[in-house]
Amino acid sequence: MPRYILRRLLVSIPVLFGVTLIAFAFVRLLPGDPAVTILGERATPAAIERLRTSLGLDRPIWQQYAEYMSNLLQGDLGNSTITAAPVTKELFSRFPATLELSICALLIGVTAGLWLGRAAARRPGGGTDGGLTLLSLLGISIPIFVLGPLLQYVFGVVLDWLPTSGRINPRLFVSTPTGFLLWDTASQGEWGAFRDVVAHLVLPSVTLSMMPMAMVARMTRSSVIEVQREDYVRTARAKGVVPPRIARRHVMRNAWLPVVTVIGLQVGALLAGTVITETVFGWNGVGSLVVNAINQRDYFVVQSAILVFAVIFIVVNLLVDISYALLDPRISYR
Amino acid sequence: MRQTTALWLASSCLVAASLVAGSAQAQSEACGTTGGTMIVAMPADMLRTDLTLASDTQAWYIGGNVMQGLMGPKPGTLSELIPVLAAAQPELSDDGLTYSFTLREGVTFHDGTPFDAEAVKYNFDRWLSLPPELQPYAPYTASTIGFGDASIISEVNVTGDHTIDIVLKEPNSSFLNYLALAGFTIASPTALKAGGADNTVTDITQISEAQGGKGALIGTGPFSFKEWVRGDHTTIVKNDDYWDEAGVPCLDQVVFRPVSNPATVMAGLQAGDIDFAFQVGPTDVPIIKANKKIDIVERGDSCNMFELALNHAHAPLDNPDVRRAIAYAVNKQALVDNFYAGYAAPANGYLPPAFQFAKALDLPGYDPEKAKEILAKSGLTPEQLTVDFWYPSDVVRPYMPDPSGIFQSLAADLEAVGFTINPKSDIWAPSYLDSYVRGTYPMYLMGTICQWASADNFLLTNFFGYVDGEPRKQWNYRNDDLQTTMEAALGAPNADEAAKLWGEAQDMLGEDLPIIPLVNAKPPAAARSVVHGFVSSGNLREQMNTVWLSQE
Repeated sequence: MPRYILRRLLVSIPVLFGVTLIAFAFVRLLPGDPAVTILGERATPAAIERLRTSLGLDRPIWQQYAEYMSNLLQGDLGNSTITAAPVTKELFSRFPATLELSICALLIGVTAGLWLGRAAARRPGGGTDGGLTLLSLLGISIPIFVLGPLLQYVFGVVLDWLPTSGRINPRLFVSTPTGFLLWDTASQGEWGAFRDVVAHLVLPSVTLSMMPMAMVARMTRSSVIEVQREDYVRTARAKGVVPPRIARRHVMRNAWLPVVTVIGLQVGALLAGTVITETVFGWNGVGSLVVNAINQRDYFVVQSAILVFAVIFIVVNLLVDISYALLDPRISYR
Repeated sequence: MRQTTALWLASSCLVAASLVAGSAQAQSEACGTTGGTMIVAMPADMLRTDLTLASDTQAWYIGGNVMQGLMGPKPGTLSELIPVLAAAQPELSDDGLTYSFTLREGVTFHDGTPFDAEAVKYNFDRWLSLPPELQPYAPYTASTIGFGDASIISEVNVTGDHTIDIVLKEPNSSFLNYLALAGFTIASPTALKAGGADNTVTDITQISEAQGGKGALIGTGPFSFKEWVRGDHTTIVKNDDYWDEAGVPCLDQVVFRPVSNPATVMAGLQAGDIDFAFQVGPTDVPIIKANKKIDIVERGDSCNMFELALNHAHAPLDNPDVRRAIAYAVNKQALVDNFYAGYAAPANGYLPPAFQFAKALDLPGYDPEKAKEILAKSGLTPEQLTVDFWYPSDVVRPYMPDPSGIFQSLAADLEAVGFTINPKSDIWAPSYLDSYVRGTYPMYLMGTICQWASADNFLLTNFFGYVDGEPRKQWNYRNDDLQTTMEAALGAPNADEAAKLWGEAQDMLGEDLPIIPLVNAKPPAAARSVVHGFVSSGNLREQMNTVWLSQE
């Protein structure tokens, strides 16, 4: 097992190298450059040239890449072209927001998805199954940019139950040392603020959880139905094992594997989803940072954010593969 | 641990006590209520916390409530300048070169540093000798007072504790307009030194004063800077010791949140999560008007111009008759009615009407018959009257709420009189801006937002002033007489002479019609109806100290 993990980590090095190359090339292939964006309507060709030179954009592209890589290997992600702040600072200040949102969305999505999937599999083809299949179909097909504003309008504006945007009521003035607001408010015993943070989390995380929920529900349903038809389940039922025990020990134990794969894959979709969700709900995390950075051609921010997303994706995939071995003794890695 | 807690408790009690004392002694009488926090939605985050090294709308808007200059625009007006940290209007020497300022006494910066002539000189020295590495971050300094040897200022002389002379190399009729910019607000020298903003640090990432750290935004304004949480919010708090007792803020704090998505802003206003929206689009106006809890905040006189830009390097746009025909062909009023929800006026000159030195020109009005007549007389063939007309596909600008709709309206106007229009579009940033700057587009939509509301800002700085002795590629409009007149107007020793020369320059433009001014937009803000006392202004130099919040 340790050798397997080591091998996987070694394999991910060329992958990450490839990601830096693609990300670097991708942002530079977009027409125009940050110098134009910074100067806006008032630009003159001379001013653009001056700014390009001072930003180092006039040098050969391979030279820029070599410098980027050499800085990267020393842990320096470069500076934002627009704000002139270190990219690490920009990313780390916004990362907790995205992580908090993603984790909540994943928890909601997986819990609800498992529950719905198992409920639907109980009587395949029945009314519950039909209703839940429709629900998961909706979850997959309604885009975030439709669902988000819809929930925002109904629960935020019309019913006025939940806040429409942001992470916390700015009037509360709680200090936020870690940036994880649930932790920051709870650890200071600010329970009123904690409730406010939870209220702010509900709409965006429910919006973001729809896709994973639907995917997990569908996969759980089909996987459970398949396992239910296996001989050992029939045997267990014949020898009089109580249904809850069958579901837990015989069915779910074997149905887990494809579900875990889907959960792992959903992390990727989730990261993509944060980009839109954060824009809709004024959630100032990495997603909204990337949107702004792409619009402004802020090269180093885009590159670094893609790199961070790639690292997360690789790590999650590794964890999923490792979990196979834990869930199914028949699988072992050498 | 216990000791620190005790200390903390003690100091917070002191702070609380001083807050109470402060609000009791000095409070603007105009406040309906005092206290409270207002949440303001801005379209984007600030770039940096140094108003010289950042010139984005957000930094200047927020920073303008914390930092003050010698001169400033009178709240609620576009171009009227009042002394702020100067005690009175400066005296100008007969040769038009020396501005003698008497400074306000008894003013201290938010960090306790006294405000005096030495502090002012320190700031001027910093601007003038900004290291070359930092100069690209200060485009307004470059285009106004300039750096080092290229500066229009020859010397800054302290003549007493609270008197200072600024000597120019040549007379400049817009000099006080420059000084009133947010980029020339006076910061505490102590804070500048502590924050690495004393020109010793050339790497902008290492200047904590500009990055929201030590020394950031220490000025003399009615609010003081509390914190900037990058990407999340900026908080400014009431300055109880503000030098102008009548101007002490009603509010305790103002929090500025960057919210880029206009729909999110609207939802926030309706739900009460946002009290004030810096900017709302014309399509949101009917929703706001239908909602009793939200009001439109009008901004008075326009400080921008939206134009049908023409590049004279492309035939037939070099032909004055063709340009005149275009001017008669376009229906400006239709644009105002259909795309701006009424928050605009047809442009009737080359400057927004409330600008200093603006002259109404009686430009050609909507008259398609006359346009046809001119084109018929010109003898140009339909092939020669075929033009590529460009518009940006993905952007909304304060002066241009719906580029593709406006394009269609104008293209229809032009085709109706005999032009053949090839519709062309591109994404705004950066391709559209890039091609515009390089002069690739023959005919295109473009607009200009004021930095200061005087003739030179539009006509010379943004439009037709030559760059390195050559006409700008955006228009390729060569008019040496105009250039000479504009330079003379800027160098005029007094306002009367300047007004006369700027008038002549505008007459030349009205004669030549190098580009077609379309509308002067008045993009509104919006506020929940609990917000009172807000003094709006088209130049966006708005002060939050008069604002108060009522109970819902």
